[in-house]
Amino acid sequence: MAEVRLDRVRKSFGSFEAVKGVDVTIGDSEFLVVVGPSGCGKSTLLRLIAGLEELSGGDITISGRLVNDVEPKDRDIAMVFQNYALYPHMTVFDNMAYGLKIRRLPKAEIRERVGRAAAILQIESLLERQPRQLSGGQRQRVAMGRAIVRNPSVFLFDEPLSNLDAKLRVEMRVEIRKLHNTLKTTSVYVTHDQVEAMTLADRIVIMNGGIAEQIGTPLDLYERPSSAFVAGFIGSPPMNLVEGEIGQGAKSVVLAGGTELSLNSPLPQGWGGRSVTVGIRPERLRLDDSKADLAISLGVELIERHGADTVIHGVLPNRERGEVIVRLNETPTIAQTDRLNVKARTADIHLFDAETGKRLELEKAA
Amino acid sequence: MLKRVLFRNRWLPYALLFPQLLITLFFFIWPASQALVQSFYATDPFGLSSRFVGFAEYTRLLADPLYHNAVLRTLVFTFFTTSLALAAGLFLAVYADRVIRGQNTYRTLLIWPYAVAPAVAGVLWLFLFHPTYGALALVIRQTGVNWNPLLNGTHAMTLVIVASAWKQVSYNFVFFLAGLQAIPRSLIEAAAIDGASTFRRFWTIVFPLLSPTLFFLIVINVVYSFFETFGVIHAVTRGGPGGATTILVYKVYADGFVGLDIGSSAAQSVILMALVIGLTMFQFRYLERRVQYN
Amino acid sequence: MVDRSRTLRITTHVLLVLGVLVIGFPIYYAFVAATLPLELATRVPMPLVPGDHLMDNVEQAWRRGDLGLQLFNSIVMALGITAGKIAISIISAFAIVYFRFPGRMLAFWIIFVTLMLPVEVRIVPTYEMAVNVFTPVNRLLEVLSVPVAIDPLGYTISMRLQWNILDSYFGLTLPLIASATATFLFRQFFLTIPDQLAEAAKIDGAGPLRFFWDVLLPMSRTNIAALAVILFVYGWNQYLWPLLITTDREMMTAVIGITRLMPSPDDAPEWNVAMAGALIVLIPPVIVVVLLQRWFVKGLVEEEK
Repeated sequence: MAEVRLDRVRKSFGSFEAVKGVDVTIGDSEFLVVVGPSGCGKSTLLRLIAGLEELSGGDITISGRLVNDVEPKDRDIAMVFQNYALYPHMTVFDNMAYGLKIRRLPKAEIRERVGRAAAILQIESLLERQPRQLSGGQRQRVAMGRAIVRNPSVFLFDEPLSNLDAKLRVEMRVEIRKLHNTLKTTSVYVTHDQVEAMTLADRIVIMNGGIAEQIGTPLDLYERPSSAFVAGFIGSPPMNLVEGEIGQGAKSVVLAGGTELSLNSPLPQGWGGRSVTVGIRPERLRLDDSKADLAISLGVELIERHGADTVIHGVLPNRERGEVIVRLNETPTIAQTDRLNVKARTADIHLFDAETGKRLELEKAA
Repeated sequence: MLKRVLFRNRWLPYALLFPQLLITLFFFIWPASQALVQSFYATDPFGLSSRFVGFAEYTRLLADPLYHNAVLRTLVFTFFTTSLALAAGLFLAVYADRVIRGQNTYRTLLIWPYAVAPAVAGVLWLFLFHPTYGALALVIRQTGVNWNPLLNGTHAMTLVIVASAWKQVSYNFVFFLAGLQAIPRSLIEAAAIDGASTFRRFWTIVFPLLSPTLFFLIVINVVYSFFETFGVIHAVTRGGPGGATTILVYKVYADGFVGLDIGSSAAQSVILMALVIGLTMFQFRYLERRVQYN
Repeated sequence: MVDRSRTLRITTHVLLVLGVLVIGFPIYYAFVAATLPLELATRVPMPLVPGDHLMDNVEQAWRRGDLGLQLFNSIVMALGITAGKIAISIISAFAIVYFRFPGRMLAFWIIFVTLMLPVEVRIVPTYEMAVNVFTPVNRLLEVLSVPVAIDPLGYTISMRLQWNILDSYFGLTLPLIASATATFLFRQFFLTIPDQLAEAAKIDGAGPLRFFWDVLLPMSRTNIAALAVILFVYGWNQYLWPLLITTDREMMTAVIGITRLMPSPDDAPEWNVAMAGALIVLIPPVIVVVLLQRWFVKGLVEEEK
C-alpha cells in the first residue's frame, strides 16, 4: 500500500505563501496529475512531497507513515526532473546505479536491477554512454530509469516532458502512461500542459494561486468545471468565457453585446439581473442557419482549417472583448467577412459567478 | 544569486571553511591590521621601542619629496606600461581574430610570455638594452641618443616599462581575443551591409562591445603595474638610478627592509591597501551593474 | 564572410608574424647568447646566429647558480601553492554555496576582502608573521592574560607559542595559499550547476560530502585543470615573498637565484651564462602554459566573469 496523504499542506517563502493549504489523498497505484499555470505552487507541492522543501504547516504521510521530518532519501520516493538532472560525468549505467550503490546493494543485484529497468525503457544499448552523447528523448528515458531501479513506493514527476519537442512529447506521454499501467506505482505528476494532464491522469488537481481549485477525474473537470478558472484552463481551444447577466425573468442569460440566450429550465427567481460569466465550450457550439432569436450572431475574424476540424475566431456584435471561438467537425464554406449564427444546448451552458468565479449549478437551481 | 538546494549540517560548513579562514586571518587580516597599527607608531630601527605618534607618519610621508617622487614615478610607469600592454594586446587580437586558419598557432606563439616571471623578463630586456652589449641599445645609439639605462633615469624607466609591458601583452591578447570572438558575426556583417568601412565598424561596433573586457583589463593591468612588477624593478634597477624607477611598492620594500623604517613602510602599505580596496570595490560595483543589464 | 579580400588577408598574416617576431625576439636573443662563448657573446654587435656552446653555458649556469636545488625548491613551492590553493578554495566555495549557516556572510566577506590584496602591500607585518606564526595567538593570550601555569611560589608564567617559518617550504607556500580568486572561481562555477543535480543526489541518498566527492569534484575537473595551470605559473614566478623569507641558499627559488647570475659591472660580463640560466628558469612554466593552453585560456577568461 503506497498511499500519499496531504493534509492542510502549507508552504511559505518569507512572506510569500506558495501553497495555501492543500488537502488531497493519492490512492495506491493512482496516477495523479497536478496542473496549473506557472507560479501556482504545483512544483512546490511536489517538492514538499519529495522532502526537498520543508513544510510550513500541515502533514504529509506516505504509506501511513508521517514523513514531515524525514529526509528525501528515506521517503521511499523517486523523482524525475524537468532537466533530467543526470550526472554529466557518469555513464548511463552509473547514473541509474548511483542510488543503489549508496544504499550498498550487492553488485550483482545492482546489475540485475539496472538491466531490468533498461530493458523496460529500451535503453540497454546506451548503458555505457555518457549523458551528453544522448538525445533529449534518451536522456528522458535514463532519468526515468534512474527512478525505476530504486523500485520506490511513489514516483514524482516534475514537468518531465517540457524540454522535449512536440512530437517526442506525445510519444513519451504515451510511454509514461503505459509504464504506469505495467508498474502500477503511485505517481504524482506536475505539468502546466492541460493536454498532458487530461491524457495521463486518473485524477487531476488543478491549482491556482497556491490553492487546489478542483480535484477530480479529467472528465469531471471538463464537464463540470468548478470555477471559471478551471473552465478556462482545461480544454483546447479553451472554453469561451463571456461576461453576461441573467435575464429579468431568470429564464435567459444576456451576453455582453445584447445577445439573449433562453434557458430550457428556469433559474431561481432571485437570480434575475445577477452578473455572471457565461461559459460555452467551442466544440459544443453548432452552426444554426435558422436565424432564430436564440442564436449567437458572430462576426468572423479568422478561420483556421485544421483538416479534421475547423476553428473559427468570431466576435460578438458591438463588443470588443467578446471573442468567441467555435470548433466545428465539418469544413463549412464560409468566407472571412461573413457573419455567422451559432447556438448551444442549455446543458452545454456553464454559468459562473462574475465576482467569485464559482460555478452556478443550473441543475440544482432547477 | 542563491542556491535553492541546500544541505543541512551543523558543523560541516565551518569545518570546510576552516583552512581558508585560518590562513586568511593569519596571513591577510592580521598583517593588514598590524600594518594599520604600526603606521601609528614610530619604531626605532632595531625594533626595540615604539611609541604612538598618531598620523605623524602619514603627514611626514605626504610632505616627503621622496614619496612625491615615488607617486609620480608610479603614475608614469603605470600609465605607460598599461597603455603599451593594452594597445599591443588589442592590436594583435584584432588581427588574430581575422585569421581563419592558423589562429591557434598564432595564439600559441603569442601566449607564452605570460609564463615568464617578471624578474626574468627584466633580465632578458636588460640584456637587450644593455649599454655595452645590448642589440637594441646599439640601434638606439645609432640614432644619436647616448643610451644608458644604468645611469640615465628616463632610460631606466623606459627599460622597466618595456619589460613589464612585454610580459603583460599575452594576457591582454588572450582576453581581447576571447572578447572579440564573443561578438556575434551577424552584428559585424549587418554593419558591413549597412556600408560601414572596416575602420568604422571597429570603432562603432566592435570597440563598444569590447569595452567591458577593456575595463576589466585596465583594472588588472593597473594592479599588475602597481605590484607584480616589483620583480622587474628589483632585478633590473633596484629603484635607481637615483630613485628614477622607485615605484610605490618598491619603496614599501626599500623603506621596510632596507631602511628599516617600519612606521613609514606600514603607512605606505596602508595607503596602497586603501588604493587596492578602492579599485576592487569599483570593479565589483561595475561588474554587478553589468550582470544586471546582461 | 566580411572582408575576404586577398590583400587584407596577407596584411593580416604579415602583421601577426611581425608581432610574433617582436614578442619572441628577447627570447631568441637570449637563446643565441646562451649558445655563444664569452668572446662572441660580448662582441658588439653580437652575432644573431646560434653557436655551439649551449651545453657549456647551461652547465656553468647550473653549477654556479646551484640551479638543481633551486629548481627543486621552485617546483615544491609552485606545486604546494597550486595544490593548497585549489584544495582549500574548493571546499570553502562548497561550504558557501551549498550551506546556509550563521556567519556565512561574514566568512564570505573575510575571504572577499583578500581578493586583490597582494602580498606586496603588507610585506612587513606578513614577514613578522612568518617569524612567528603564533604572534596573533600570543597577543590574544596576553590580552586575556591567561595564566598558563602558576608555580608554587605564586609567580605567573605566561606561555608563548613559537613557530618560525622563515627559510622553510611552509613559509614559501602558506602565506600565498589563501586567495579569494580561486574561491570565487569555484563559487561561480558551482552556481552554474543546476539545483536539480543536488536534489537528484539527495533523493539518491547522497549526503553533502558524498555529493561533493562523487558529483561536484568530478564535474570541476576542467576548472581545476585550468586553475592549476594559472596557479603553477603564479607560484613559480613569485619573487618578493621568497626574496624576503629565504636567506638560506638551500631554500632559494630559481627565479631569485637567476638574478644573482647577472654579471655586475665589476665581474666578467658573462651574459651568455646568465641567459642560459634565464632560459632554464623560464622553460618549465612556459611548457606548462603552452601544453595546457586550452585549459589555461579557459581558466583565464573565466576570471573575468
